[in-house]
Amino acid sequence: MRRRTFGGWLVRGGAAALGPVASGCAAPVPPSLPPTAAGPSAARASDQPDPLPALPEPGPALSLQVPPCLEERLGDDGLTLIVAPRPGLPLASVALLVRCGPAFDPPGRRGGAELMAQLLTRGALRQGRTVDGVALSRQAEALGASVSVRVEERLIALEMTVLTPRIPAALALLADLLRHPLLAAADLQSVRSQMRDALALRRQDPAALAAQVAHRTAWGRDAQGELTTADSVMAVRREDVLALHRRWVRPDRVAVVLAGDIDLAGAREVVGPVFGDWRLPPEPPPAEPREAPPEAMAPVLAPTLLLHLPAAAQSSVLLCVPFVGTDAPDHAAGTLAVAVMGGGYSARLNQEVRIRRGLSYGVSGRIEQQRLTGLFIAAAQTGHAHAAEVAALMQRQLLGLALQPVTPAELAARRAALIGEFARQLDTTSGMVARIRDDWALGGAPGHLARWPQRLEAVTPAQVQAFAQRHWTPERLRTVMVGPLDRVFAATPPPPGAVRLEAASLVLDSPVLRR
Amino acid sequence: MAQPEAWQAGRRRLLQQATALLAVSGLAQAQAPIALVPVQVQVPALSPQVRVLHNGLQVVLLQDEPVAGRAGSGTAALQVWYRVGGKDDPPGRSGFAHLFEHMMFKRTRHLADEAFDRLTEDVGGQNNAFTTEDATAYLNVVPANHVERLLWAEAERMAQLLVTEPQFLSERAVVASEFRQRVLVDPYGRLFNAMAPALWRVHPYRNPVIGRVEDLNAATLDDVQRFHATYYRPDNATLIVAGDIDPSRINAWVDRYFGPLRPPDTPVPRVSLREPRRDRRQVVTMPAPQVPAPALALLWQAPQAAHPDAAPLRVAGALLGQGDSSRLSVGLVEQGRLAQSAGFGVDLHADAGMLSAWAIAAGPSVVGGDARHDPRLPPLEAALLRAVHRLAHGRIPISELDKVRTQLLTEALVARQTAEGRALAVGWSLVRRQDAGAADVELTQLQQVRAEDVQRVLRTQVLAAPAVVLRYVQGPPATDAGGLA
Repeated sequence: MRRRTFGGWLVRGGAAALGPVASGCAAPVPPSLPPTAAGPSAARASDQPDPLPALPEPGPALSLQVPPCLEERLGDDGLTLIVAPRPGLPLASVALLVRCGPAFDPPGRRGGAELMAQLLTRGALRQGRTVDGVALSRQAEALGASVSVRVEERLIALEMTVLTPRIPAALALLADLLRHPLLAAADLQSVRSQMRDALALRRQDPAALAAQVAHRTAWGRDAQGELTTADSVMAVRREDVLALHRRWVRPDRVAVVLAGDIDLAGAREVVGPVFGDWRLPPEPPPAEPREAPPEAMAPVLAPTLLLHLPAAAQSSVLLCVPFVGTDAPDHAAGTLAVAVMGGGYSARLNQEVRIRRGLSYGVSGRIEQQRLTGLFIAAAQTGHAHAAEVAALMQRQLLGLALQPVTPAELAARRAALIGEFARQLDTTSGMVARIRDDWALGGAPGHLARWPQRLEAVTPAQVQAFAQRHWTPERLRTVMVGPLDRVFAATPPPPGAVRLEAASLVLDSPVLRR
Repeated sequence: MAQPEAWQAGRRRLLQQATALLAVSGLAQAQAPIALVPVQVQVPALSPQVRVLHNGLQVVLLQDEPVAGRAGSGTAALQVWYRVGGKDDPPGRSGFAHLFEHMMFKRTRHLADEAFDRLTEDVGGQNNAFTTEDATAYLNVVPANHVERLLWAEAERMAQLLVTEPQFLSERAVVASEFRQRVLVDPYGRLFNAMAPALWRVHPYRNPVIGRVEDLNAATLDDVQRFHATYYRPDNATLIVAGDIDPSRINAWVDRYFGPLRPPDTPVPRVSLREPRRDRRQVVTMPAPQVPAPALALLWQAPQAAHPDAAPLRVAGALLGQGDSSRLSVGLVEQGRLAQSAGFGVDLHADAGMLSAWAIAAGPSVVGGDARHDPRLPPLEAALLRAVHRLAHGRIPISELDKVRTQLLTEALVARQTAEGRALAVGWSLVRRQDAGAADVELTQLQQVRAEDVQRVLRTQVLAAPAVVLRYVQGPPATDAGGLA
C-alpha cells in the first residue's frame, strides 16, 4: 500500500462548499507546458503520440449536506439520546457513551477505568441470569458484530454496527453490559494479565515507546502525564473498579447514540423499554477531576530525550508541541496549522521527509485533544542512520510555520482536505458515531458539528502564523528519538542538551522516567 | 497482547485478489434486491453497468440509487485496477509490482510529481493504492464535480508515465522503510510474511507481495519502464466509477480520454504455472530475533476464488476464526488458555488459494534453553487440528451458522456504505472471480451455505490434505531480510 493511515484525529464540522474551482487549488502542470523534467535519464514508459486533450476544469461546486443530528434528554434522570438518521442501507450503529475514563483513575492506579471498560464485556447479568464473557460475545456476534470498547481520557464507549432488525437487541445487550456488569475478580485477574502482557510488548516497539516518553515529557509533573504501566495496572483492585462503576456510570453521565437506518420516533421506541427504569442514584453527581491547565509545562529532564533501544528494527522520531482546547478562540486556526504541518499525506512534514527525501514510509500527525488543552504529535519511523536528519528536518519545519504565513493556495488546499475528510466520515454510520462521540466527550454545544466548516473557512493565513508564533515555539517543542543510539549517532553527535535514557531501565511510572 | 485482528486485516489487503478478465456483458445487469436469511432485510444489488472499449479497457459504472429523505452524497469514487500483481514480479525482482505502484504517483508527460494529491486531497478528496498477488488498484475519492479531471489524469498516467532516477531511488528507499515497518518492527510481521513462501513451491504466489530486500535493491529504472510498457495498458485494466454520478456524462468523458489510448501489439504476459498438489506434510521452523511468544501456523492449499467451494470455505473460516465466540478463540484462548490469540485465514486468489490456522502461545518466549523445541508448540498444533476436526465431524448448531451468516452479511453492508466500498466490492469480484456481478452472487451464496457444505470442504480441502507446519520461535534469523527464504 502506498501510504499509512494518518493518525486518529479528525476535524469536527458542518455544511460547506465541496470542491473549489481549479484556481483554488494547486493545479498540475498545464498541458501546454513542456514536460517538467523529462531529461535524458527519464524512464518513459510510452512513446505513443500524445492523444490527450487539455486537463478539464472542475464542474460547478457542490454543497455538502450535513445529515441532521437530533439530541434530547429522556425523562427526568438525565439520560441523553442522540439520533442521526441516515436512510438507505438497512444498517445502524448503536453506541453508549459514558463520561468516565483514565482521567478519573485513583492516583497510582492508572488503568482502573480501562480495566473496568474491558470487564464490561466479560460478564453481565441479563434478565436476572449470569452470562459469562464467551456467551456475551456469542450473543453479540449473533447480532452481526463484536462489541467495540473504546477508552479515551474522559470517555468510555461501547459500540456495535448491526442490521436494522437487530437494533433493539443490540441496544439491550449494550445496556446490560453497561448497567449490570459482573466485574468479577477472576475476570479482573485475566484482563489485568492481558493488559500487562500488551504493555510489555510495547516496551519493544520504538514507536510506542516514543509516544509514552513524549506523553511524560509533554505534561511534565502534572497528573495528566501519568501513564498506564504494568505496575499501575497490577495495583488496581476489584474495589477500585466497582467504585469507578458505582460513581460514574449513572444516567446523567450517559448518552445513547443511534446513527443510520432509524429516525427519532423509532429511536425513542427502542430506547424507552431498555432505559425507562434507570433512575438516578440518591448521591449528587460527583465532581470531575480537574483537567491539566493550558499553560506550558516544564520539560521532564530535557526538551530532547534519547532512548536507547538496541534491538529496534527502525528508529522512531517524535515531535510534540502544545495544542489548544476546543473552546479556545484559536482552535480552528490551530486545526489548520496542524493540517498544514502534519495532518495528511501532502502536509509539510511528510512532504519533507517522505516525498522529497524518501527517508520514511511516512510522517503521521495527530491531535491529542482535551477540552482545555491538547498536544500535536508528529512521528516517523526511519532507518537508524537517518534518524538525526529526520528529527532536524521535522523540527525546522514545525518551528518554521511561525516565521512566515502560509500561502492562500496552501491554506485552501489543506482546508479542503479537512472538510473532505469530514464529509467522508459522515458517509458511514460508525463515522457519524465517531463525530458525535468526540463532540459529546469534549462538550461541544449542540449544532457545533454543523458550524465547524464555516469556522474553518474563516481562518486566514495570518491567524495560522499567529497560532504557530504563540504555541509552537522552540522552548515548547519536545523531541523524542528511540533506537540503537550508537548507530543513530554514529556519524553525528547527539543534539546538545539531550538526555539519554536506557529502554531496559526506563521507569514509566516516574515523572522523571528513571529511579 | 498482540493484535492478530490487525494483522489479519492488513494481510487481507495484501493477499486477496484475481486475474485475466475478459469482456463481460455490455449492458447493465438489472438485478432484484437480495432477500437474506435469517435476517429479514432487503439488500440493494450493486447493479454494475459494464462495457468494454474497443481498446480493451473495461469500464464499470455504479450509480447511487436515490434514497428518499436523503440528498445525493456529492462524492464519487474512481478506481483503476490493473491485472498485474505480485505474481507478475519479474525474475529476481520480488516486490516489484508493489514498488512500481509507488512510481505511479510520480510525474507524467503533463503532470508534475504528486499531482494526484493536488487533484484529490487539495480539493477535499483522497487517493491511495494497493498491490495484491493478482492486481494493483489505484483509488481516488473526489467531490463529484471533479470526476472528469480524474478521468483525464488516470488516462494520462496509464499512457504517459515518466520517472527519473532520483525519484526512483528515493521511492525505493520509502519501500524499504515500509518493509521494515510492516515486516521487521511488528513482532509477528515475519511470521505472516513467511506463510506464502512456506506453502507455495512453484507458483509465483510464493513471493511475498512486499518482496525481499535484496530484490528491491536490485531493481532499476529500466525495470520501471519495461513494467509500465508491459502491463499498464487499456486492455489490462478496469476503470470503475461509483457514487453520485451521471452515467451518460461519465461514458462520454471515458470515450474522450481513454478512447484514444492504443494497446501494444504484444499480448499481456500471463502466469501459466500451476501449483502441484502437496503429497506430504512438511515442518518449517522460522527463528526471529524478537518473538514475544512462540507461534504456529498450519497451511493448506485451497482452490481459486471462483471455485464452488469458496463460499463454504469462507463460512468455515468464519466459524473457526471470526470473533471472540469463534471456535478457535473459545477453544484455544478463552477456555483452553493455550493461546493468547488464534485465527483462521481463507485467502483465495485468482489462480489458487491458501488456508491458514494459526495461534500465538500464551506466556512469554522461553529465554535460554532451545526455543526451537518449545513444549507449547505441539499442543497448539494438536488443538488447532482438533478444532478443525470437530467442526468437520461434529454437530454444527443452526444458531452458530446463523451467527456467521449475519456476521458476513453485516460486514459486507458496512463496507458498501461508501462509493469507494461499493467500487472495491466490484473490483475484487472482477479480479477474483472475473465477474462484476459476483459480489452480489457471493452474498447470496454465503447465506445459502449449509452445515454439510462446511463439513464436506473441511474434510476434502483440509483434513485429507497434508499441511505445512510453520513454527515461529525466538532465535537468530536465517537472513536479515525478515527471514524470507
